[in-house]
Amino acid sequence: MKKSRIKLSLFSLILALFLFSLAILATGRNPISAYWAIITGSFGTLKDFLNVLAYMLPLIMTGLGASVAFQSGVFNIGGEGQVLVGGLASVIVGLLVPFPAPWGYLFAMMVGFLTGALWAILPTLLAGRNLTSLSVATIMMNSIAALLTEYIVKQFFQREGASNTETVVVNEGSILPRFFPSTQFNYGIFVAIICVIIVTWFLYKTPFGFSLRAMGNNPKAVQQAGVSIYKRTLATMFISGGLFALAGSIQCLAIYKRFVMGFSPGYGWDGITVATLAGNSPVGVLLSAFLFGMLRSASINMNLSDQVTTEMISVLQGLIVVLVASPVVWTVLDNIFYQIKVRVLLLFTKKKGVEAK
Amino acid sequence: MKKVLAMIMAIIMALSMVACGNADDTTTESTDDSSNAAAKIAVVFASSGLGDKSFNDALYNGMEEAKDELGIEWVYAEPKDDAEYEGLISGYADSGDCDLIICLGGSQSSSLENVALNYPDQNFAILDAVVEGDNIRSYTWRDEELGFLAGFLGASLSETNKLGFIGAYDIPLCNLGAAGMIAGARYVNPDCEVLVDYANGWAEVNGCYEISTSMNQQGASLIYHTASAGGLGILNAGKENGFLTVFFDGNLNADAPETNIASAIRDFPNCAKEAVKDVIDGNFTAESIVKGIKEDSVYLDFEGAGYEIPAEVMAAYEEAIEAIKSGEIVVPTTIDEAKAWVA
Amino acid sequence: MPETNFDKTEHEVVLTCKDLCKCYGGVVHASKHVDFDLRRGEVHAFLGENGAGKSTLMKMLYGIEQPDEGKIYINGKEIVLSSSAVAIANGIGMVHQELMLIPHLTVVENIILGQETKTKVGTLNLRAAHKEIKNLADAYGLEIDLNALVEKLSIGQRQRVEIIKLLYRKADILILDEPTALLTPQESDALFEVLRRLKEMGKSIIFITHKLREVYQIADRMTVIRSGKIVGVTTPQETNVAELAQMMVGKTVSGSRRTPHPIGSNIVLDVKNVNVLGFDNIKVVDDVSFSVRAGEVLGVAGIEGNGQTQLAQAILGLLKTKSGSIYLEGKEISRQSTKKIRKAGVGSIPDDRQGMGLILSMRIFENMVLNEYDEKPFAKNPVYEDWGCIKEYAREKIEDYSIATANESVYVSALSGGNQQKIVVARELTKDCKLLIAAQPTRGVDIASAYYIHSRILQAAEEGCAVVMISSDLDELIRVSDRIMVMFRGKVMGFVDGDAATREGLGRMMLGESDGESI
Repeated sequence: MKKSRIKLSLFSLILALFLFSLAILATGRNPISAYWAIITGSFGTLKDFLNVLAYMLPLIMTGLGASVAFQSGVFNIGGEGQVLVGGLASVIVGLLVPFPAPWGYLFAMMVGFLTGALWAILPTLLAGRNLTSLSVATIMMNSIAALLTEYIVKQFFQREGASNTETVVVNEGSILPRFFPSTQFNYGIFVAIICVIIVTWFLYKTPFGFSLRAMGNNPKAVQQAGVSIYKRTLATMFISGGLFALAGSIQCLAIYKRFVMGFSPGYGWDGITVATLAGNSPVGVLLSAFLFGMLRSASINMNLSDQVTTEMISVLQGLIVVLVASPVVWTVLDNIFYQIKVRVLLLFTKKKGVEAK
Repeated sequence: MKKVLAMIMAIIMALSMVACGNADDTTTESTDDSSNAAAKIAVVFASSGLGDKSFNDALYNGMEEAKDELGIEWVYAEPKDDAEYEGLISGYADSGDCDLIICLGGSQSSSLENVALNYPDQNFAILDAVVEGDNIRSYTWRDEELGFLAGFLGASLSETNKLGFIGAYDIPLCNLGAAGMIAGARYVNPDCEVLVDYANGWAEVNGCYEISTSMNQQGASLIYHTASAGGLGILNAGKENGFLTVFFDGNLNADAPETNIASAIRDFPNCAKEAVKDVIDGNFTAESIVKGIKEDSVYLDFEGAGYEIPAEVMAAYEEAIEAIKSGEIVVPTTIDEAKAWVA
Repeated sequence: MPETNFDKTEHEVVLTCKDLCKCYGGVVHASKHVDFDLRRGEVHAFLGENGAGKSTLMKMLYGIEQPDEGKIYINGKEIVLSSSAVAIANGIGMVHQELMLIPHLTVVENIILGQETKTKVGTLNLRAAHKEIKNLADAYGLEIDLNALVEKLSIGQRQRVEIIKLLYRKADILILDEPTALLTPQESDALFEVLRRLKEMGKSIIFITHKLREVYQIADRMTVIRSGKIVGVTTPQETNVAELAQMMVGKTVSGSRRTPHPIGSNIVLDVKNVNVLGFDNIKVVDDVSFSVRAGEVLGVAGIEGNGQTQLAQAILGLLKTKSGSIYLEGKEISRQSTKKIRKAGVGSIPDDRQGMGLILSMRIFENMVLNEYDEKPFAKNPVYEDWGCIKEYAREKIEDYSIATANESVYVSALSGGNQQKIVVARELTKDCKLLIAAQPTRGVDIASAYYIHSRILQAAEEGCAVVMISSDLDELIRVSDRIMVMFRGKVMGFVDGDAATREGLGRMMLGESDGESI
């Protein structure tokens, strides 16, 4: 990750926090107490902290999925659908395949990964390298995934007597264990960390990863060098879709132990934000997913204590998204930073001059 | 530049001072009602949220009544999405000072199941779903009895001998209403036919509008549903095309007074109140409670409806209700049973 | 209106710049204390490499940018050129490199745009304007069909329209920014003819270029700029090309000339009756056949857009051929993937360096292995890219090609055009390169680097590499090629021997007159 990128991410974060303060002031509250609530909500107790980690898990996976796609210059906007099909595939395996403990959930997650990967390949086969078509196709696949998973559950796996769309609990061996039953923090953290390591290695240490990054930076140059960008687009969608799907697998197998319609509050979309804030760096994804995990935890804790500010957390999230995603804001910020630097430097040199006299 | 910076700083400081003052006010306000209340109850609403004119709002009003009648203190959380349920339920359980945590809606069942195990001493109640557990009371309703009443009225008022039913999905839960309606219709007139179709979605407003319109064209004179929010489409179709409807879950009679003859109500607030009362009295039991006409927990609400039902029909309707209460009529729960059913 | 009887006093100064300074971002000095004067009735050439500060100076003269320090005097009066409107009002006009005409309007409409003559009732008086422009064009001997749509005109004619437009706005000082960049030699000569006439009529012309030959053809005086500073003012009589080039670059440079060397007997590339279709199924490459031997440099001349690019892409497998066959060392490659063709020993310098040749947002060492990143020793195995080895390799290449950079981890976007191109050349001229397709290898590259690139290409040829060099710079082609193939509208017009080639002859063939000796 370039230094300037880190600088700008931090900048827009700070600006978002500043604007958020103004918004809170406008509602007649004290921004400091809001920030304090976010911090105590995340680090107040061990349980709070573990929950932050738990909320972070799916965001790491979707953030990674989005990072791989964006680093390769492929617009995978179909993350949400991939999360859903991944979750459902894992749950179906968990229901049907009675493997004992580690193998049960490992196999279920593997199938989840593959299903998401193939699901992501599908629109790519249709749209090819035309990136506009690809983003439209992947977006449409989100709706298809939502309806298809709902249909499959209703038709074949619906839990009798349930008033919502959900399956029964998966086999014992396919449940991804939690560290403590009282928090949502679960073994998925190992998957997430391993994935961060693998994706980092893949992107920065393998020839194939290099060719993907090169394609993301300038597909024409890569094509000139004799690399088939169509094949690489397929590969990118495969990996990215699989990572998105793992988010669904982890949530279904560890948190709900079944497929519940609506289990994903938009992890696929959040992944895009997480990746953008992280500058598409896998390690950056860890940090920005942690931040978003904190906000989710804060939102829940505020909901428990204070009735109004929980909506404000959405405002903060929105501000971060807007600021990170707006290139104009970035250039303006950069310019402002430069101006301030120059003025401050001038100020200091003038002072020094006076002192010298 | 320095001046501008100083100005901004000054404005921020001024604003934050004003804000601090405000914040102090609100904190003092919120502390004073935690005095000796009879019980502290926490409610986790469904993610569809307050302001839905349906079960979230109904429960909110019920809890406000309970606050006045029973002298309880109550707090609530409005989840933004389904993924927040578990955090919210366990958050209240963690605080340790809630005598009862009420979860609204079936979508919370898996989250409640996860949490309840970890807090064996905490009492939970869930409305509209059955969750097993030593500390959970579940409330569900005999939807088939509401279907029976709708079918009864429909068949009594029908000249075409055809009625319609729309379920959200072809699943047992939705089919309870269909079974009841078929039985109710057959109870009045064994030749009365009920068209059954499904919206395939919990909120298929447009789909339900289309299905109900087409059912009406096939001759259905009254249409009832268990299609959740999709019912709004049926309500509107009835209003525009002039066929009769019975709305399910929430009283929307006033929205189509000419055509919506009644609304089917399941009494969430009173069940919640019952659980609260049991907690106060120390009678709380973990069980699955199923309520129906006999318990006065489901009924057709005619309040606000402008359609005039002939007196003799109403008389027969009252008789049927009595018959169900006395156990004389047992309403079937599956469509197959209903088709073979004779009173 | 042209002043036909102006006083031809030699040294009447019309424009003076005093101590002009311009900084960008507070650091980079694009102009450093520039002093210069322009006389009436002279063609004053501004010479400098890309990025030397010519454009900045011209922008200041045309009011697009304002100097940080210094003053501009027109006819002895100090004028603050706060915008290009002010510049035009003071008789300064500019013809940009990219012509600013509207293709769907006629010549007259384009000329009067913004200065419309109105009738009494306020409608557009095209008739009066037409008459006025006709008189103007005749007076200066600028032949043009005033009613033609601009889109139907050639680049040279469009340029003429731009000049008339300036004259119509009563400009006395004309700034021409690299006017010959896109012209054929014949068109250039016609332009010079026009410029001479303008000069005689008392107009002053600032002529920006980096082509030394043109300066000698047309300029009365020339000013050489290097890194924002004026290095010298001289006349064609006082200097020679070598001296000028040295002034521009700051050190002695010598152009590589093809030295006779043995051309191998084996044919490396054999192209037979190749057809390539473009949009709307128009033949962009039309029945092209040629062959290149080991050690031979085949130049491909042609005005841009006559199928050269598509031919190169077809050889590289980036474009599908409609029919015909391409043999690399006897093996048919026209149906093979780019990857296979490249692995068989074909190097490619694409004409769009920044768009296709390099990844600007990546580092030098990453760009250096773009063609071989997945081969040993760079990729130890499929899951380990040996960046240490790659950096080492990049350092060697940087050394070898004397690329001016702090280290191998610098982002390519931070390098100058010449150094960027050197990276492409260094990357493509690997040891096992059998065929090099070099398209516009020195476009936008400073002279020193261009000469260096030529020498490397020639060196590769001497070592047995077959080279196809596509270029629109005829001097470059004549100097470097053994044979020159001329293309026109996708067809081969003929082949000319490198020694026998002349600019004029090539120019005629580029315009479609087939008089080359076919080989």
